[in-house]
This record gives sequence, C-alpha cells and structure tokens, in this order.
Amino acid sequence: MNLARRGAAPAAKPAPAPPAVRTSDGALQLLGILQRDSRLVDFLMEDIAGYSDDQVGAAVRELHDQCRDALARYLKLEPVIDGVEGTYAKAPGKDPALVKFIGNVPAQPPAGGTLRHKGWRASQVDLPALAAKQDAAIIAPAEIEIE
Amino acid sequence: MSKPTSEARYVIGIDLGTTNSALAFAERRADADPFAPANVQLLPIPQLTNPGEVRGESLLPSFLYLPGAGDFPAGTIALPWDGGREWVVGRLAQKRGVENAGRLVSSAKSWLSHSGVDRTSALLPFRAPDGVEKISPVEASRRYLEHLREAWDAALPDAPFSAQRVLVTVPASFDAVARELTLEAARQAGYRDITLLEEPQAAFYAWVERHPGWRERVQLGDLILVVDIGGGTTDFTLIAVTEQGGELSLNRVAVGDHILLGGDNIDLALAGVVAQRLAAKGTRIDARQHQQLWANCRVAKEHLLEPGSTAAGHPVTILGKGSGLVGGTIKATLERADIERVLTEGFLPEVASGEMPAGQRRVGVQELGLPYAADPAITRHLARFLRQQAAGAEHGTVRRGPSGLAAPTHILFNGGVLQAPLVRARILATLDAWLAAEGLPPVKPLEGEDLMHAVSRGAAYYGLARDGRGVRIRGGVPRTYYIGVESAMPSIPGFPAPLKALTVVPFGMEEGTEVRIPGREFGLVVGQPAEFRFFTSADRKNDRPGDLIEDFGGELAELSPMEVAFEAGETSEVVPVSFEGVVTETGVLQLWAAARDGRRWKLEFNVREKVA
Repeated sequence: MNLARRGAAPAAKPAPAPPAVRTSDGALQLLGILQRDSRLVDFLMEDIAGYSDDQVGAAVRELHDQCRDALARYLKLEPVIDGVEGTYAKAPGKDPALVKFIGNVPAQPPAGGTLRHKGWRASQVDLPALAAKQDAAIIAPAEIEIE
Repeated sequence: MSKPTSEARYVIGIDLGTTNSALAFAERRADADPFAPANVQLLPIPQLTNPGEVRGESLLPSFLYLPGAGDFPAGTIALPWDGGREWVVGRLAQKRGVENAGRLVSSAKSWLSHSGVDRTSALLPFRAPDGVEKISPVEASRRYLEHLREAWDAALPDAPFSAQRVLVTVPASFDAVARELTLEAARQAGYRDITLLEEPQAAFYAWVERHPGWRERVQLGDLILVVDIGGGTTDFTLIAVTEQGGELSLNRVAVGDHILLGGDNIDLALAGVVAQRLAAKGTRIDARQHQQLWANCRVAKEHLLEPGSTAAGHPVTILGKGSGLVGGTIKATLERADIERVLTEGFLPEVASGEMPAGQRRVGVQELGLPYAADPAITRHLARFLRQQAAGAEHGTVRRGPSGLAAPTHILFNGGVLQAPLVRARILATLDAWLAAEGLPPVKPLEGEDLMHAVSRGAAYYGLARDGRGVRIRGGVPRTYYIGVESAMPSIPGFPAPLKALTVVPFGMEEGTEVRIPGREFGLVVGQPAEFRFFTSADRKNDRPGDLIEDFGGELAELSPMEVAFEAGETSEVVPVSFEGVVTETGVLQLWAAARDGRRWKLEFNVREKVA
C-alpha cells in the first residue's frame, strides 16, 4: 500500500530563440499544408488522362472535403460583393483589384451593374509560424517505410 | 484578481479519458444564487495539431508521442509555454502515431487500471523498438495532466491552476491502486487541491446541471442506469434516488467492471466488413491503407448515424499510395445495412437478460498486453451487470424484478458512441425487453447533451455542488470496518496474544467525510515492517467509531492483511497515536495515525463493494 513513487519531474529547458519568419515562404507553406492535409499537389501533378471519370470522381470527393477543411482552417474566405449573381449590385469602389468591369463598359466606370462573380477575399489569414530551420521549399517529405 | 490563494476562485473539472481528455471550469461566487445556472465553461486546450502549429481544441487526445531524432524538424514541437518540449501530447501525437506506432503511448489509462502488470514500471509504448526509452502509465498520465495545467496557466495567468480546486474523474471501476496512481500522477503534474470523482457520477451531474428541474424528473425509489461507452472502454453504474432528511438524494449503489470494449472496436469491425468486400473483388489493402479505411469508416459511420440521415450508404475511399493519387484510389461504400448488421450481430445483439458474456480466453500461452474483453456484445455485459453485479449489491434500495434482475427506471447515456440515436435505440430496446419480461414498464431515457464533454462539465459542477449548490451523489459505506489491535498481555508460549477489533468506519459512513476515533490512544509500530489486519461486517450496524470488540469469533470477516513499514527515520519504535478515518469521494478508506508530536502515517484500502 506504500504507493508513493516519485519520478523526478524533468527540469524546464530554456526556450530557444523565437523562429525567424520569412513572409515570402507563405505561398509554399500553404501549398505544403494543402498537400499534407489533402494531397492536392499529388493530384495536380498526376496524369489523370488515362483514368475513368468514375475513378477520378472517387478520388476528388475525398480530396475536395479535405482540401476545403484545410483552407477553412487557415484562411477565412468571403465574397468581395455579398450579393446574388445575375442581379444588380453596386460596385464597392473603383479599385480594379476589387472590381473588374466586363462587357460594354462605358468610358467612365459606372456605379454598378449585373453581378457575374462575387469574387473572393481572404478576410483572415492564420498560418502557423515557420520554424527557423524549416525549409518551406520542401512541400512534402519523401516517405520511406521500414517493413 | 488579488484573491488569496487559500480561497480557490474556480473549480476545474478534468476528464482524464482513455482516448480524449477535457477541462471544464466554473467560477465560485460566495454570493451566488443557488438556483442560478452554474455557468460551466470548456477551456480550449492549445496543442500541436501539426509540426510547428499550435491550435486550441476542446479535447486533448490522450496520446503521447516520444519523438526520435528524425521525427520532427527542429523547433517544430515547441509549445507556447515550453520551447524545449521533448515529447508531443494531443492531436499531433495521435496523427504521427498512426505512421509510427512504436513511439506512441496510447490507452495509458487502461494500463493504469491493469492489475496484471507493475503499473509504475516503464512499460509504454508497449511494443516500442529497442532504443526507445519507455515510460510508465503513471508518467504518461502525468504528462496529459501537466499539459492541461499548463494550458490553464497560459489562458488564465491571473488565477494559477495550483490555487484552484481541481476534480479529476476516474472510472467507477478503478481499484484503489489505480485511484492512488491517478492522484500520484496529478500531484507530480503540479496539482494541489485534488479530489477524485467517478465518471458516471460526473456524467449525471452534467445532466443535473442542464436540467435544474431534475427533482421533478426523478422520484424516490428510482434507479438510474448510467451507460458510458467511450472510444475504448465501457462502464455501467447504478445510482439510486433515496431520501435524506426529507430531500431527494442520490446514492451510487453498483459499479460494473471496466470493460475494454468501445467505439473503436465498432469502427474496426466496420473497416473489416469493407475490407472483406474489397478482398472478394480481388483488391487487397495493406496495413497502412487499413488504418485509413478505419478512420474513413468512422467518418462514414458518423454520417450515416446522424439524426435524420436516410442515406443507404456512404462512400469510403482509400487514396492511392505514393505520389499517384487517382491511379491507386480504391473506392468502396459503407452501407447502412453493414452498420445495422455489425451492431445487431456483434456489439448490441438482442439477448435475454440471462445471457452472460463469453468467458475470457483460456489459451495456455497468452501475449502480454491489455486484458481486452473477450466478448464484444455490450448487451451481454449489461445483462451480467444487472443480473449478477448489481443484483449482488447489498443496498436495500436497488429496485428488482421478480427474477432478481436489477431494474432501472431511468437510463443516462454518456460517451461519444452513444451520440448516435441508432445505438441508443438498440440499447433501449434490449433493456425494455428485459423489463417487459419482468412485467415492468420501459426505462425512461434522460436526454443528455454534448456527450463528449459531459464528464468534465459534470466534474466542475460537482465542485460547485460541494460549496452547497446543487446536489451530491452519496455513496454510503455498506459495511462496518475494524482494525485489529493486539492485546497487551504477558506472553504465553504457544498462544498468540488475542486480537481485538477497533471500529474505524461505522456502517453507512458517507463518502467524502471523516471521523475522529475518540478516546484512547494505541501503540503504532513504526520503522520496521509490521502486519496490519482489517476486519469487516455487514451485520454489525451499531458499532460506533472507537468501540473495541473482543472475542468476535466468526462474526467479523477478515480482509487480506497488509504489511507496511512506516518511515520513522533511523529508529524503530512503538509510538502512541490516535486514529482518524477518512472515506474519500472515491471510496478509499484512509486511516490516519497521528502522533502527539505531529507526525502522521496513513494506511488505506478500498471500501467499495467488490464486484463479481
């Protein structure tokens, strides 16, 4: 009944220097995340011409779910114009990065028109910090199995 | 925020689960309206979800990964509060463990309750390759508990964890050693004010918390069956509604075995069905693809079992191996009929209440490991619980059918598996059939919510209840307990000194209370091994603490004796002491011997009903 056995708690280690973040790595990092969580790069780099639609469809269903989950985890995506496509919408501004006028566009951009595409805006980006020694260019490590 | 630390500001409920852990908390307010909602909240637990990525999730998967040099890039397993952490706990541990099981510690809690091994020795990971340093189940539990403490301290730095009141839940079936080891792990993890609470009770408190009018839903004489099916374990408990001083109160009257059988077994069985169908078509899958199939079958099962779902099947895909994804994709479907068949024929067959589970395997040579249940039929385990274990309880308040079957009036479900209405319905149908055979009306389900977090929420609520709010479940000790005292007599060759029995725990003593044994002092042998003998009686209900029984003959039953060497520095001596008895919330009797100079020694054992 003498149950007291104390394992020595490991002493706290000094924290290493905070990792230096290179913002240019963000694109590669996102690609790496999409590969890790949904194998998007495998899919895009594969030659799918020879496979039946049924076979492609089965793979895409799974990939689509996982890819969307991964995006939702790190980015918050919302439409630039929150309207109904095919109806009139006011342009939120004249910035060509925000709104692209198409069709019979007059000399002076008008205040609005028929919404054809709502656009996408990443209203929030929440990518984890990369460790200093992490090479973002490695999108997926090679895998070796020991049998 | 400048409250003195002696007065805890929060109560924290910790569900240390076999596959998932959770932390809920509630603020204690001196002026609180006892009828106001308790306002129990969940703490998001920051954990590594991928290398280099920490996220808060409401559950901490109870997995520990012991990385080797090549497992993670340097600096990617740091935690916000510890940059040099050398192990991984939580979601990432679970994920990486699928790829490399040799470094994964899982089900540490089941090992903690496995009496067939030395639970403090470094056993885990059980199948670790040579060169991986193993740790004990206690150490693994410590790391989960420590992670929860650190998560709290990071979130609420003004209210340090060690100054709060903490309730840690354990399965009702945990033996005294497993309870003590859980406490030990919590102490090592830096927990201070700790109380253990049983999981089914916590689940019931969670229901009470959500239903302030519970006193109208249950009545005197009702018997509530708590069915808890988690990822890897199943537990049954009975709680009786009794009267105490004119008010309803709750007594836990029977506890079943800890059955190593749960939702993971169901998912694995479904994966087996799908793999068989693939094999029939000539498609073989390897072990790693089987893992993926297992995980996808769980997802498909959850989709199909969602309330309102009428789909006949859900696609299950195994993506191609290597960098070719579409080419190697294997497509299959998990049919609704598969789930129904696996549940009906395997896990929840409609059996008679007299059908007992198949016995444990008796193969002469067995692989060491966890004592998994030999019979997967949860309904047969339930039959055994209600027919043998609960019916054997001495408590007079257990409602029974004519055949002796313990007959619950209400049922409360807990655990992730029971979130599926189909699973609940099958258990209800079987139980109702048994009750109908006894000529009794069907059982009433007590609808719980959020079955994944109920235990931690209920534990926090119980912490408030101890302040006088809410209601406590009592578990009165159903026996009187005695310690053997050697008489002071001149020695006679051939005749051992006669033994007297000192009453230390009176009949019906409530758990969570203590009693001082009044009057005289006794001599305690310290500094050398000495034998302590304990006796018990279910019939002598009127002995008071301190009563000394002589010539008890066969009236008292002796428990297995304990040999203990109390530490007393270098010397061995006989110290005059007085005794105090404490029965903890979890049914452990602690007998404290207090010397005049302030030194104290503790003897303890489980006073819970031993179940068959």
